[in-house]
Formats: sequence, C-alpha cells, structure tokens
Amino acid sequence: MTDTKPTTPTVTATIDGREITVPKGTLIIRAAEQMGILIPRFCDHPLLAPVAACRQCMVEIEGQRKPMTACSTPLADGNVVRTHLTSEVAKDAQEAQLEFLLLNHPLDCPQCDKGGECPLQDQTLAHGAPDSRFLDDKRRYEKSIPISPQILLDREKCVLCARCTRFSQEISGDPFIELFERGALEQVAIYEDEPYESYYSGNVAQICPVGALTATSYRFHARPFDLRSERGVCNQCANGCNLRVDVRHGEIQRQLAHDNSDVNESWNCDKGRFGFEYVNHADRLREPAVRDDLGNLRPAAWITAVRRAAAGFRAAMEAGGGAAIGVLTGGRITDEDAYAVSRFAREVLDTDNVDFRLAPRTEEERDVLGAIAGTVGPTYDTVEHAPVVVVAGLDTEEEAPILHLRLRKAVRQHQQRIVVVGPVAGSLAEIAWRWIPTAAGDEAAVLAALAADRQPGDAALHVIDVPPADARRPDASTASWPSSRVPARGSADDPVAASSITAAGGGPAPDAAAPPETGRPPSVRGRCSTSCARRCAAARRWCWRGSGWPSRRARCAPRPAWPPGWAAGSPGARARPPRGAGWPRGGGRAPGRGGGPGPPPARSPRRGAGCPPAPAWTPAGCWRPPPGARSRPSTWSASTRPGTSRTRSSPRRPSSGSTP
Amino acid sequence: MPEPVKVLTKRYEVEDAHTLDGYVRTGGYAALRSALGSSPEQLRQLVKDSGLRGRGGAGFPTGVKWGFVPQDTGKPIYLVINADEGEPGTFKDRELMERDPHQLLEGIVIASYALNCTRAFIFLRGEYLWPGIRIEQALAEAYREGYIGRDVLGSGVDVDITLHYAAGAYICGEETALLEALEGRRGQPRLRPPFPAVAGLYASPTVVNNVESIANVPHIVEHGAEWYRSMGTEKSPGPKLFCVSGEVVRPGNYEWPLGTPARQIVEESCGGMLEGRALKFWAPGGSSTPLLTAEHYDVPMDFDSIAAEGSLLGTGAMMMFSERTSVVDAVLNWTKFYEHESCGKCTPCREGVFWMAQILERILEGHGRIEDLQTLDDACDNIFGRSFCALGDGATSPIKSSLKYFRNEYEQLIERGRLPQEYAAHAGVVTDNSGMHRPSQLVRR
Ligand SMILES: Cc1cc2nc3c(=O)[nH]c(=O)nc-3n(C[C@H](O)[C@H](O)[C@H](O)COP(=O)(O)O)c2cc1C
Ligand code: SF4
Ligand code: SF4
Ligand code: FES
Repeated sequence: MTDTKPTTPTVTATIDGREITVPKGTLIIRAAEQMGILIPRFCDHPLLAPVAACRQCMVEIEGQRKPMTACSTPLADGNVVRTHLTSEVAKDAQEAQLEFLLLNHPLDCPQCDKGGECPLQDQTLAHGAPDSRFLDDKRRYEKSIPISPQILLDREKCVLCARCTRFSQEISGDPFIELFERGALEQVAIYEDEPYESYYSGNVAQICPVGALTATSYRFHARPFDLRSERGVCNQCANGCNLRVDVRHGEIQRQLAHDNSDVNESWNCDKGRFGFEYVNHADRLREPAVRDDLGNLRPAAWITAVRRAAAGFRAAMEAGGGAAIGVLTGGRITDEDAYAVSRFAREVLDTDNVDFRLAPRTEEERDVLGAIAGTVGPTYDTVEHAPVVVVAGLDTEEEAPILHLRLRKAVRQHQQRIVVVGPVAGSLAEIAWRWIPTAAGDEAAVLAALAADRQPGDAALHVIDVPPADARRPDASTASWPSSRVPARGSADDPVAASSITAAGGGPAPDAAAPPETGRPPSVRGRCSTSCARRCAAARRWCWRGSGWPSRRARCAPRPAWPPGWAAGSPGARARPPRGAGWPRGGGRAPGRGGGPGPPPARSPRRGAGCPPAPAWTPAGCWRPPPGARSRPSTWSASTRPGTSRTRSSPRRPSSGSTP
Repeated sequence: MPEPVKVLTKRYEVEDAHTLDGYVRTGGYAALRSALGSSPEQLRQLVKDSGLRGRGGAGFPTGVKWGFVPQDTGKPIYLVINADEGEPGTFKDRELMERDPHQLLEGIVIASYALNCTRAFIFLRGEYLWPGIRIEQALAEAYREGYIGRDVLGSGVDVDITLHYAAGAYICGEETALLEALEGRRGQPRLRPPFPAVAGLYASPTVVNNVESIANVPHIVEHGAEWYRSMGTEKSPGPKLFCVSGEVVRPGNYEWPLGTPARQIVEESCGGMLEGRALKFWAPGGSSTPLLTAEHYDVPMDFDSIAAEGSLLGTGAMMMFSERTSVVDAVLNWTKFYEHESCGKCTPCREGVFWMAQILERILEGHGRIEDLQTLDDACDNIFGRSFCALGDGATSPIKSSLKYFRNEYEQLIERGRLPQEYAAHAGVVTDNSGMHRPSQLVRR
C-alpha cells in the first residue's frame, strides 16, 4: 500500500469514542472498517467512486447540522464521528432509509437467489422494523427480464444504488446499462438499440446488493447456505483471477471473483465466471484410466494408476536416465502447480525436459521464452503505476481482460499514457494515447526503433494521435482539447518525449491497417467466427472453446461532453481490418507467470540453484502471480487449440499440487 | 412604510423595451460601458459591497459567490444563468426575459467581464418558448451591434453567450443537476464538494446565478452600491420581484424593496384577497417554503424576517389561499409535483415522496387513518436533511408546515372521510403530462 509512505499526511479523529489515524482523504466508511465498525451501505463500493445515493450509511459528526453520509465524507482532523452504534441520530437515519427502501421492495426473499447473502435482507434482520407502515401500492414491473444472455434484471428488487451502472461506466467502460426515468419510476435498463454485451457483465450481478441482477447460469440452482466455497484461480487466460468456486453436491454452481488487490481486485471477466460448464460435462474424464494388456483404457483406482505411472517412470529412467523422460503440463496451471511439477521433474525424475506445449510456435519464440523463463515479470501494480505503457501486438480486452481493466484504471486514475503498437489498436482504441500501426508481425521493429530513440520520421514510426476517449479524465482540462488531436503533452523530462513519440510522424502507412480518417484506430471485436458466435448466443452460453467470446458489435465510444463549438473527434465507423495471420488466441500463458515451467534455461544445472526461482508465495497459501505487461500470449498451449480435448487441462486449484 | 420601486421593472411599460433600440433609448448598455472602464476586481468588489443576495431561492450573497472562483487555475471560467424557473408559483424570470431581455444580457456581459469569463450559458426552461424567442432576438441584435461577442464595444473583452433550451425538469434548476444536464448527462445533482465554483461545468470554475440576480447587476454598476443598499433591509438590500398568485384580485409580478410586509404587497399591488375571502394560508416563496398563515400576514418579506417565522423567502413567489381552499388538497397537489419531479437518485426523496403522495391521496379519498398523520410527520423528518439535494427538503415543507398549522383539518378529513361542504372536491384535472393524476387545487369561484 502506498498509504504507508511517510510523506502521506494523516488525520486523527475519533469514531465511536475510539481514536484513529488514517491518511488524509480516507472516507469515514473506510476508516470505520479499519476499526472493525461496519457501517451499513448499499451504494458504496470501495472500487467505485462515491455517489451517496442510497443514504444508508448516515453517521453523526459533531458540529454538523445534519447526519452525513460516511461513504462520501472524508474523515477530517479532529472529527468526532458517531455511528449507529453510539448515536441515536445515526441509528434513526439509517433505520428510516431502510424503511424507505423496503416500501417498494417486493419482499420475495423466499424465492430470491440473493436470499441468504443479501445485504438488504441482513440489514433488515439486524435493524429493520418488524412491521411495515406501508399500506399503499408498490410500483410493479415485469419480473426478471433478460438484459443479456447471462444477466437477468428484476427492477422490483432494485434499490437503485447505481453500482451496476457505475461499474459499467467506471470500470469496464462499456456503458450498456444505465438508469432511466426519474422519481419512483427510476429504473435500470439497457438501450433499445445497443445490447448489453459486456465482457464483464457477471460482475454487476456480483456487486448488486440485492437480487435485482442475477446470472442465468446460477438462477434457482442453489441457496447460498447450501454451498461450499473453495478458492481457486481462473484458468481461462493468463491473467490469473482469483475465484470463489461455489460447489453443491460436488458440482460447481457458480464462480465468483474473489478479492485480490494484487491481481484482479474484485473483478473477473465473464469467460472466467461463467465458463465452468465443461467441468461437469459428461465427456470429461473423472477418474484415472490404465491401459490393459490389449491396450484398451480401463478405469482404475488412483493407487493403481499412480503405481503404474511410477513403474513406467522407473523403467524409463533405468533404460535411458532422466533424459528419457519429458513432462508436459499444459498451459493452464498456476505458477504454484507449475513450480511443483518442475521440482518433481527435476528432483525426482531427474529431467530438464519440462514444457507446457508440444513445440514452440515460432523459432523466435524459443529464444524469447528461454530468455525470460524464471524471471519475475512486472506485477499488475507496476503496470498500473507506470507513466507510460507500450502494448505491442496485444488486444488486451480480448486476450487479457483483467489487464485491460487495470489499464483503464491507470488511465482514469493516474493519467497513464498507453502506446499501442500493432495492426489494430483494438479495444485499447478508447484509452490509448498513441497508436503506431504496423503490419502484423512487425511490432518488434517498432519496439527496436523506439528503444533506439529513433524519430517519428523514421519509416518504422508512423505515430497516430488518439483523442482522449474519456473527457472526464480528472486532471484534463477539456479546454485544452480544442480538436480531436491531443496536444503534445511531452516536456523535456517526459519519458514519452524522450522517446520521441509525441508528434505525429509522416512515415508511410503500413498495408495491414491504413490509419483511418478520424485518427482513431480501428478496433476489432469478436474473434469467434460468426457462425460459432451465433451458436453460442443462441445456446445462451459462453463459448469457452478456443476463442472464447461470441462476437459482439463494435460498441459506441463513450460520448465525451464537448464544450459547444469545439469539434469532437468523431469516433467514426470502426473498420474491421483482417487480423494478422497466425495470431495467437487468448488463453496462452506467459512463462514465468503460470504458464507452466517453460523451457528449461539452457544448460542449467539440474538441482538447486538452476531451478526457476520459486513464485511469490504468501503465507496463507494465497497465490500472488507476478503478471505480465508482457502478457502477449507468445505461447500456444495445446489444450486451448480448438478441437483439442479439454480433458487434458490440469487441476485448477492453486493449492493442490498436481501429480502427472 | 416602503414604497414600490421600479428598478428591474422600469422598462416593463416601454412598448419596445425588448428591442435593442428601445433598450438603448431608455439608458440601456450604459452600465456596460462604465463597467468596461473599471477592472474585474473592482466590479466584483462593487457587487460584494452592494449586498446583492441570490434570487434563485437560497439567498446566497452573489459577490461572495463570485469571490470563491479561483482565477488562476488556467482553466476557463464559466457563468451559467439559471433560467430554469421550475419552482411552483414562480414566474418572475419569465416576465423579465420576455419584457426586458437586454437587461439580462447586459448583466451577463458585465458579470462575465467581472469573472474573467468568456463564455456564458443561459439554461432556459424548456417550456419557456416565448422568453426563448425574445432572448434569441435580443442575442442576435446585441451580437450584431457588438455588445456581445469578440471585442465587446472595442474594449478587447470577449464574451460569448449560448442559449440552451432545457428539457423541462424541476431538478435541473438545482445548480449541480443543471450543470450535468448542460453537459449532456442525466439531470441529477452531483456530489459536493467539489463545489461548482471550483469544478463546475466541464470541471472548470463555474458560477451559477439566477436570472433576477444577474438582472440586478447593471443597476448596481450604474447607480452604485450605496444606492442599492438604500432599498431593502440591511441584510437583504435591493429590490425584489414578488410573484403573487392564488386568490388575490390581481395576481402578477410586483417589484418592492425587500422587507416590505406581505400584507402591503398584496393589498397595494394586488388589490387584496378576492372579495369575501379571508387569507387562510400562504407560501412565501414557492411551494418549497413552509406555509405560513394569516397570523404571519404582516411579516416583512426579506430573507431573515421570513426565516425567523420558520419559513424561507425562496423565490418570492407568494401563493395566497383563502378559507375556500383545502390545505390538504393543495398540499397533495404540490406533493404530486415533487413525486413527479424527484430525480430518483436518493432513497429518501424517491421513496419517501412517493409514499407521502399516496398517503395524502388516500386521506383525501376518505381512507385515511389517524396514524397516517404520524407517518407523514415521520416521513418528513426522515427526508429533511437526509436527502441528497434540497428538492427532498423542499418536498417536506408543505406537509410539515400544514401539519403544524392545520392538523385539525387533516383530522376532520380523516374522521369525516370527505372535505367539508364549502370545498369542492377535485375541481378538475389541470394537466396530465405524466400519466399521473393531478387534482387541481380546490378553489370555488
Ligand atoms: C430543486 C431545486 C430547484 C431549483 N430551481 C431553481 C430554478 O428554477 N431557478 C433558479 O434560479 N434557481 C433554482 N434553484 C436554486 C439553484 O440551485 C441555485 O441556488 C441558484 O441558481 C443560485 O443562483 P443565485 O445565487 O443567483 O440565487 C433550485 C434549487 C433546487 C434545490
Ligand atoms: S440493479 Fe442492483 S446494482 Fe444495479 S442499481 Fe439496482 S440494486 Fe444497484
Ligand atoms: S433529493 Fe434525492 S431524489 Fe430528490 S431530487 Fe434531490 S437527489 Fe434526486
Ligand atoms: S452507502 Fe453511503 S449513501 Fe449509499
């Protein structure tokens, strides 16, 4: 946490009679949490900007005329704050808001998916009135309506906390879900002509404080108190989101994003959340099989299978030594599993032949992987706080969705500048600062040119300014955007200026993607073939196989509020240039990150020092991957290739050491 | 006894005051010329010294508000004129813009110069078509003659004015919701801080002022702060437009110095209450201000005296009602307005006003219960001071104050199940623009 820096000014105040010192600017609700005082809330979410809409979190602050909302008021030096625990005013205010919220609530808890884990229900149980004074008509809406194939909306239950809409605006950046109407008729809705097609839609169901937004895949499947929760790590891509896997009767009912501020914060993508149906698929191997004398696979007990494998290893080692053995892990296991496997291979099987794929896809990949194997890459935190990020040949939203959210956050909160290198700017078009178009595969030349400090006139460097897509970037005075072009913000000590990409260059446009007229890079959406996507959409489920997502239409760029008279850069129609041939699909994992042990460093000694350094463990077994800005999936894992049997994917829990 | 004044209304009788010719002939734009001769700091100080208080409802000193604007941020400074005039009973800005649009424009140019603002906006209530036309014509003339635009009157000062027709929502009169709406977003109030003076329109320092407040500025510049303070009371100086409506002989806008007793305004300007009707209750400054009774008829109409009586001067929209009007029915009418106009952002106002409207409706339909009065009272307490913006507070005013002064009328109504003979129940539906049933106030003529 940066909070502990000695330079951060602090404030000291009392909450419920106890003194606390927190960094200046800490909201009362957060400070109280640190003291173990839970102020009731609905609209507040630590990762969303405060709106103070639900008015549930009222506390009394000495000297203030009226109770204040703890979720939007920063603690000030010398404040004497009293929460509902010690103040009648606060208690009264909170109970009143609860009474108001329940007026229009349908109270169908017994058949609601949220029942048992619902903040509104818990709140009411804790300090709601036993009886209602409301005799009149509740507002009525049609019951759960699907707003997307994955998400259902029940407007009667909605408490209009705007968490879902703020998530869409602030975090995922696809405002397909909005508040409409006003007064008691205010409601969450989607646009008629813009379907709710977010890669992150499952998060809104998770953060909805009532049962208004639910996921079709879990609807009426289980009650929270019947579920056993396991922690896990998502194996759908290289991002490594922490998951909570909820199991009932031995079957996964749902997956939720598990908070890990070092990785996925509180979010995950829909592929990771909803893509678990294959686990229970009938075709899936559930027990080991051993070949009988005729060569047929027969189900066997684990002990038999393990003995048989051990015998096989032993025979191979006796015949040809460890070198006769190779271990292939598949590309979807965690760092920890990969580490365990590689230790087992090197120390027990005495072999360095460890890999996670059958063969490198390209020759250069071999060198790259060899060079980076075992190094600890940048973390999400370093990516977030970097002033400039160069993204080469990677469409983050498609291939590394959680990295994409981090980049969005960095742009919103830290004014990060993103330079995209590649044939398309893709999903980064909305947040990128510069785009250097290349032909597919030529990214390396651009990176080399940048590293060599060559100037934009250079043939390799055709730099395109990208207008800021989000006019509400906090520091940016809109007045400084007189046109769709961003003025050069570089200064002498600016790392960007130093690498000379502040000015638009005049080099020839590469064939692969001619710069569009608007200066805004084209974006490519949807990587499934159309027919595949249609099938998935029709089946109302996620296409996890291979390419991941049903395609979605190019979405609208957020409309910036341009001061009148100033030409706003028209997003224009997004072209759909052919994707560079042979691009890897999402799901590959960068080595050193969890993609398996990687090729052994050449001529490394077999034991001890030569082993890849252990990944970062935290005491509680909590898994902390050093993720990659380098997470262009430079690898192609066998198990992600369409048509390859998924049954070879490795165990998905980080804590369970896997035995091949 | 105060005398009626003619400051803002001084051209109301001039046939062509809305044209540039008529305006200039009657001394218009002289103030602008003299303002351009002094520095912005001097002008800000002048307005501060005049003691002008905002006429949009809150009565905040305008000069102080201008002083909050940081001048050194490097961002543009914006002036936004709040012409949304949505407060029930208020129609002063409308007549001002219809009869004397150049007065407002002159005020805007002077205020912009004083604030170092080069672009001002007029946020005009969507329904105000005729005032809009007048403003458009005035803008065209003033631009043509160089009173607005690049290099105003050769002084090197640039001021552009943009007229924006709003979509017609009461909440968009609330200054932060207004700025949201002006930026093209949903008209819902913003979290403060940051206050508009620091981060308002397009995250730049912004001043939001009412039409009438700004219309005062040319007169202050022309005659000085001393002259301005000669009208009104010490803490509420200057002239004020009072919009009187209800059961009076001649409803309309009347200009009096602040601090004139209500009775004097009604009797001298409006010809008193309608014949045979005695004052029963009245709202001093629009429906968001707590009701007063005949007992308070002599209260001086200035910010502090009214506050001392437990109400607010608000916009100065005096709505006068006699014994023939049921206070419960009037309150239901207003509550329905708030129910319809609540923006829905915060729980207490969205749900609470929805609830109170239903309770009042039920009482009027004869299904009231005596406990309902306690519920109404509690709901008001739970909304007041707990809602996100002042709309919620305002919505409780009529209910809370009527319960205070006319509880027996509620009780009688609940007991008898219908209004007494002398009131006609639901005299007719006035407008129905929402699918909501809105009974008129019960006035039997
Ligand atoms: C619900 C609500 C509606 C308002 N409507 C108006 C309005 O229609 N016109 C107006 O001038 N001020 C209105 N205001 C007051 C403004 O928020 C603001 O105080 C005013 O424009 C400031 O201008 P002034 O300082 O010149 O009075 C309203 C306030 C609230 C809370
Ligand atoms: S749907 Fe849920 S998250 Fe969205 S506003 Fe309603 S209660 Fe809040
Ligand atoms: S009080 Fe709340 S719901 Fe009512 S208008 Fe203000 S913000 Fe909207
Ligand atoms: S949690 Fe503070 S107002 Fe909603």
